[in-house]
Amino acid sequence: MFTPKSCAWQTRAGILHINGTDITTPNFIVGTARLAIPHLTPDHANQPPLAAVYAEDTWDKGGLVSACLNRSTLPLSSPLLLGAVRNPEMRPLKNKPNTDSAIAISTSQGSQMASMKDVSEFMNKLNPDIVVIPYDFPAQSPNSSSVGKNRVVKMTSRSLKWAKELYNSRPKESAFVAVTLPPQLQTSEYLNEVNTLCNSYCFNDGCETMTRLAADSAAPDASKLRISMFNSGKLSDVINDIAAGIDLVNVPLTQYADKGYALTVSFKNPGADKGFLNLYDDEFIADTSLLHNSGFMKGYIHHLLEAREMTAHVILQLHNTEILKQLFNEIQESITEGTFSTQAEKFKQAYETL
Amino acid sequence: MALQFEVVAKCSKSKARAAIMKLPRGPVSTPVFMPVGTQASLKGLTPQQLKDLGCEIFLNNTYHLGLRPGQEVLDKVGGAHEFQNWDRNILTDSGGFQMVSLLKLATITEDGVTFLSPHDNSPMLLTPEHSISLQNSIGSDIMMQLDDVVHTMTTGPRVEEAMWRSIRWLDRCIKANKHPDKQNLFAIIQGGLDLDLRVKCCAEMAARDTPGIAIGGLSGGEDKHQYCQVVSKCTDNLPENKPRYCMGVGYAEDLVVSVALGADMFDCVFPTRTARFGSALTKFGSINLRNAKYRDDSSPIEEGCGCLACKENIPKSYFHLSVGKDTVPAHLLTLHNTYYQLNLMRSVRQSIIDDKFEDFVNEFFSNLYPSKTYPDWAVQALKGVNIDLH
Repeated sequence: MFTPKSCAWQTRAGILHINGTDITTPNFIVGTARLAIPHLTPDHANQPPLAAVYAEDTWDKGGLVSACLNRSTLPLSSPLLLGAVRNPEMRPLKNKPNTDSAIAISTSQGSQMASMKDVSEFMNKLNPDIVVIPYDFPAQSPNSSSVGKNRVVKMTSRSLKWAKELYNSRPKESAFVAVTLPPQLQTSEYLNEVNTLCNSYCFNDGCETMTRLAADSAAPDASKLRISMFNSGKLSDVINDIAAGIDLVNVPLTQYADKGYALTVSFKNPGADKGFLNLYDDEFIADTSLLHNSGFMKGYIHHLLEAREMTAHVILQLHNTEILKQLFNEIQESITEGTFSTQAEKFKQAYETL
Repeated sequence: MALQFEVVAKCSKSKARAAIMKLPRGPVSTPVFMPVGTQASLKGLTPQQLKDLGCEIFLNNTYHLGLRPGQEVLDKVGGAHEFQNWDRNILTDSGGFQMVSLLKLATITEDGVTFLSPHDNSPMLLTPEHSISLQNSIGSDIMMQLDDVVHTMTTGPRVEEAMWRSIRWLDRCIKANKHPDKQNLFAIIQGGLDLDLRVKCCAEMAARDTPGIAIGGLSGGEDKHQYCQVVSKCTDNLPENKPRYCMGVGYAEDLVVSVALGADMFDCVFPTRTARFGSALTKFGSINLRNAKYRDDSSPIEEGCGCLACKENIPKSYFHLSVGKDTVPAHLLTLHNTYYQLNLMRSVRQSIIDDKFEDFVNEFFSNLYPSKTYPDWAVQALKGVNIDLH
């Protein structure tokens, strides 16, 4: 169950009840790679509030690797959001276009076709808390910016077919079924149909769609959960999503650890520094001060990064998860206190490079 | 001397023994396998995870820490324990082995080992005094003397020369140790595969009364029969009241047989290195999870294993899918293999205390070789200490 404090198309706080757990919103989702959050084994106490798992990660040349799909035996302890593909629009698979019964996916062993039956099996085996239903997006040349009129008609009918098929075979325990609303599918035909199927919406283009929907009298039900899987890699876009009214937002957590960044961002007091420490910098060679609550000296993490020791990324991933949790707590407080808009501007100015 | 070694049980048949080695940062139960954290980290594991595995001591490499973060930083932070947030024991090697194994053009003289700096190719000299100075800065609970390492298969006068030089270098190391009250310096027995030289070396080293003694110059590809002969000869000639450290040994069979021959301490990079290549150690042998037969295997790595991956029933299929591509399967397999090694030694120890070591050895080998065609070297070595494999 999702209980928003506002049903308007604007910034809002709320509570998401998932599987006996309450997740306050806005909050964040972290993408996994092959069923695990990079660098984090499930025994670490500090885990992200939600993890996104993708069907395309569990395919090989032989099809779905179903033997590894069991919710209780995944190397993950966060509640799960599950999608077929990371981004249906980032896949110019001209040699393997979608069909009425299958979607083209990118796997570690090349392009494959996943039938809706397979996607359904994947969803049912993992029994996620939130299911994001895929939509049809045509294979395009990289230079093409729009989808032709006739193709939009086909895109609508095919996406609806997939949505109905997957909705009907959805795992019964999944609390939320999200349908994606790309700009091409924001027609009254599509919106009316999916409105009866889903209890949440997913957006792939950040706050642009949200802003447009807010101005549209035929907008879908504003009380439903709103998820943004958009990922520009910038924290300012995460803030823009929340400003537009997103409840759950995809955050590029792993990129920070991989770059050697230890986040220091604050929503309450932005601007004390640039928002991160690049622990690769030589200034940390002999730095004996501890990195926040990590228990480790900055100089030690610098050493591990220089020595290419994987423990560096584990420590940074844990630290950055904690900082993002604090950030979202502060965002929630600011919404309650009515200071979000002001603070958001200060945040974006202070951390424009992040 | 900052080490007390108390033998708590002896096998009534073989030379195996269980002991408590009291060190400045807590007791270590022996026989013990010590994982290797070369650069002050055990390959993706946090110190807390290592503690949760029950690890009481692990290794750092002096050569690597001397290069990075360097002695100045180690002095500033107060040593390797503070540096890596590890409050249990650390053993460091002398740095000499890496000079010989990693570097080309290393030359050994009476002064020490001359090698070309990996930074700027300038000639550098590692002396016994410099090695101990580095290990004093690291603050390790057990330090190893700089020894003159020759390849295991070397024969002729060079072996004897290296043995006598190692003895002379031990004297220089003892003199150079600034903290004998809290850092224990171990001697290293050299002498190649020549048993007479080994006996001589044992007598010389024992006379120097170091807190513990290592058996060096093995695990370099020598015949296993010869390895066992050397270990057994050394343990026959080493003091009863000091720990005996068999350097560079990590295969499960070698560990079990070496314990039977009277060794107490072991280290090797094998369990953690093989984990990163997708191999999991089990009581039935090593399995390579990249193998296609594990694609559809939903069972854990080993039923009944107490590591995180097996307790959580993470299936082999997951490892098949992700190993070599992501960091999490590498961490989980490192946890598994380290647990396997530590738990093997805990089981060995308990069997010695219960005086059921012979039964344990038989069960161990029959799991590994269901057809009971055991390797001859193991059969002969165990027979030599009154254990029959049947």
